[in-house]
Formats: sequence, C-alpha cells, structure tokens
Amino acid sequence: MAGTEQFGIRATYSGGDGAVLAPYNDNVKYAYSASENTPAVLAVDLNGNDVSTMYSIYYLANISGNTEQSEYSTYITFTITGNF
Amino acid sequence: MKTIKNTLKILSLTAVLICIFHAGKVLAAPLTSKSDSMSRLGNSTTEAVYSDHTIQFVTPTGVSSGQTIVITFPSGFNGATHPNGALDFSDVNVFVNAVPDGTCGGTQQDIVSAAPTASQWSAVFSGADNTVLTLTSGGATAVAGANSEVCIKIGQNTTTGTTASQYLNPTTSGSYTISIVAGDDSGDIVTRIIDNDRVTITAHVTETITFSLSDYEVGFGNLNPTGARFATGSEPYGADGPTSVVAHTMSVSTNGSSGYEITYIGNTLTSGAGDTIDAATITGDEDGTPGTEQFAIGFVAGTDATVVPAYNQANPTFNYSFVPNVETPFVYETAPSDTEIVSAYYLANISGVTPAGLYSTSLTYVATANF
Repeated sequence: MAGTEQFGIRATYSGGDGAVLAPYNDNVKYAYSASENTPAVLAVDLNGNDVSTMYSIYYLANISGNTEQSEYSTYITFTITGNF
Repeated sequence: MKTIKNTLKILSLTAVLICIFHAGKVLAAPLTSKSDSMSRLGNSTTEAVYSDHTIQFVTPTGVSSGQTIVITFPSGFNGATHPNGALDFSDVNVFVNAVPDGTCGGTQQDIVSAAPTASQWSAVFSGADNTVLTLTSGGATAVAGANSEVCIKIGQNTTTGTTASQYLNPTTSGSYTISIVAGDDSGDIVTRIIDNDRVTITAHVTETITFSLSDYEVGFGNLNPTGARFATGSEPYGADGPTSVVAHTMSVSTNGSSGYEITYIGNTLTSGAGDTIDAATITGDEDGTPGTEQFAIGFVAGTDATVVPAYNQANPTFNYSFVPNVETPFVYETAPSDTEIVSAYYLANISGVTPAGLYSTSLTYVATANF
C-alpha cells in the first residue's frame, strides 16, 4: 500500500518437494514476522529425497510521507535444519 | 568334516553366550527424529560467526539414572573463544518431553556444573576447543524415559540469554557431522556450514517537503466601519463578521526529522495613495474591534501542527496578529509530518476616517523543513 510504511517478503519455489508456507506463499501479498532473535519458518520440505528446491525471495518496501529521510538497512539470516 | 562340526559348535556356544550376556542388558537403538537447528550457518572465514544450537532427538531406549548424554561436535567448531567466555554449564538448557511433538519443550532439567543430585544433570564441556558436551544424570529423577524426546539448547537461546557463550562456526564451508550418544542409544546429525547466511538489505529515503496554497488571490470587498470583514477567495470577495471565514488553506508535509515551520512576510493593507490599515494584535475576539483600523491574520491547524499563540485563531481562542515586513513564523511541527492542512483567516476593520481607496498587499509564505 503506497503511502504506508511497509516491509515484507514473499517467496516462490520450483523443483523438488519443497513448499513455501503461509503467509509468505501468496502471489501478491507480503509478510514479515521475524525479529532479530525470533525466527520465522519460511518453507519446508517433508520429503528427504535429496532433490533440490529453488526458492526465489521477493522484498517489498513502502514509505509514508513522514518517513524520516535516512539510510535504512537490515539483514536477514537464512538457516536450514535437516530433520533426520 | 570334524573341523566343520567343531566350528559350528563353537559358533553355537558363542551365540548362546551372547544371548545370555544381553539377557541382563538393554539393547542399544539408533536415535530418531534428530535435528540441530542453528541460528547461524555462515562460516567464520572473514568474521567470527557464533551460533546457537538446538539439538533434538528421540531416544528409543531412554537415558537412565547415572547414564550420560555425550554430544561431540566435529573439529572446526570451537566452544572456547566466545567474547562472553568459554562454554560452560550455564550455556546449556535440557528439556525432556515424554510425548515427542517435534518441538523443543517438555520438562526443563536442572543443570549444574558438577556433582549433580538425584534430580540434576551435570553439564561439562571438554576436549579440544570444548567440542564435547557431557551431560551426566545425577540420579533417579534426572532421566529420559524410553521413547522420550530430548532437546538440548546451547548458546544464547538458553535462559541465560545474550550473556551466554556460543559455539564458533568452522572457517570452512561444508557438511559437519555431530555425534550423539544418549545412554545406550546413538546417532549422528549433519549440519551444513555455508559461505554466507545473511542477506543485507539497504534502502534510501530522500529528504522531501511539499507545500502549496489553495488560493493566490483573496479579497475583503468593501470594508465597513460598523462591522468586521473577512477575506475570501472567490468573488464577490469578502464576508461580513462577526463570524470568521476561511480565506484559503495551505498544505505542507515533510520527512524532516525535526519537522518544519512556515513564515509569512509582507506589508499591511496599503492604498495607492500610501494610506495604510493599521496592523493589529487581537486577543480572544473573533471580529476584533469594528470602527478601529485593524488588519491581522490568524491560522487554524488541521491535525498535529502547532500554531504560534498570537496567531491561533481556533475557536474559542480567536487570536490574530500581523507584523509588517518582518519574516514571522506562525505554525510549526517538530517531527516528520504527513500532509497538514492549515487554514488562514484575514480580518480587517476600518474607522470612520479611514481614507477611501483601493488597498492591497501581498504576503509571501515560506515553509522550511528541518532535516
């Protein structure tokens, strides 16, 4: 929503048996629920068949008229955990 | 043939002995539902990357009183170099869940550094770079039952928080195998260390300010010594008092971190012959003093702007003022502001001896953002 401060991500996937989880799997909507110390689950693959899944990540930002001028930055840490 | 028969006898005897031997001992089983959820996967090639570990597994046999859980990290991990100090028992949380649910939960165990009581576990790091963690059951109530789920947190994901120590990730990317021996059960977990696990995202928000006036020509029409007049923006210009009328509005917005201010500058109403209407300061009076020369302006803010008190025309304050030819601030904000609408009021009164003529002036408004 242009004119409103927003930061979010979404993802798509191809190949393998992986899947993006809601709410990050929408074609047009974005979400962001993680914080510096609280991870959010983005995708899963319940089939350990060793076939690769390619995930594409989209980043969205909107600002309002009174968003302070500045340089903004963050980093997102991506981790993966195998369930053996 | 005799040799073969003797050999079979020996094997049979051995089998019987093995069976007798295991009759008094629980058989080992492989751990199941194993995982190590790390907070960082990046390698420590260019910078030290420390990671929390949440190691989870189901032990089919269980861990009995006095038994141990031994977690051995492969070479490359280092539990002795964290700025908060080397890993110790305070950097470890252990949970036992009798009903595995795939999440790290259940009953939190009491962890001590050494000499555990019957309800405690000791946690001791040892080996090169503290890569071996040994949890030792102190007794009958520090156990994990058969088929229970054990979760072991190491690092700042424990109740110790950000003052806890963590394992340093290896400097070389690749697969690393963590081995676990829990009582008589055992298993491995593979983790993957990669070149970089972080995406840095940057954005630039530029300085902005918008400012506009809704009208550039306003007028009083015919002034009257018996009643106030207010300027309006459409012909026929002007409106009779005593009720005030908005002449025009101005719109301002900025992302300046310290907001903005708006000033005006201009002369008072002046005729072609050089006669003037006196500039006035009016306090708490919507229509001023009819019969006395007065020219003044007042403003009303839309939402969160502040109007300088002398110009605060908002009901019931009804203040007006005018300072000729001096750049004078009359409204401001001290923080970034989305669109703010400010309404302008122009008041004029004349006396019975005010010279006839066509009076006019031009006011210049300037909005300045404070970044």
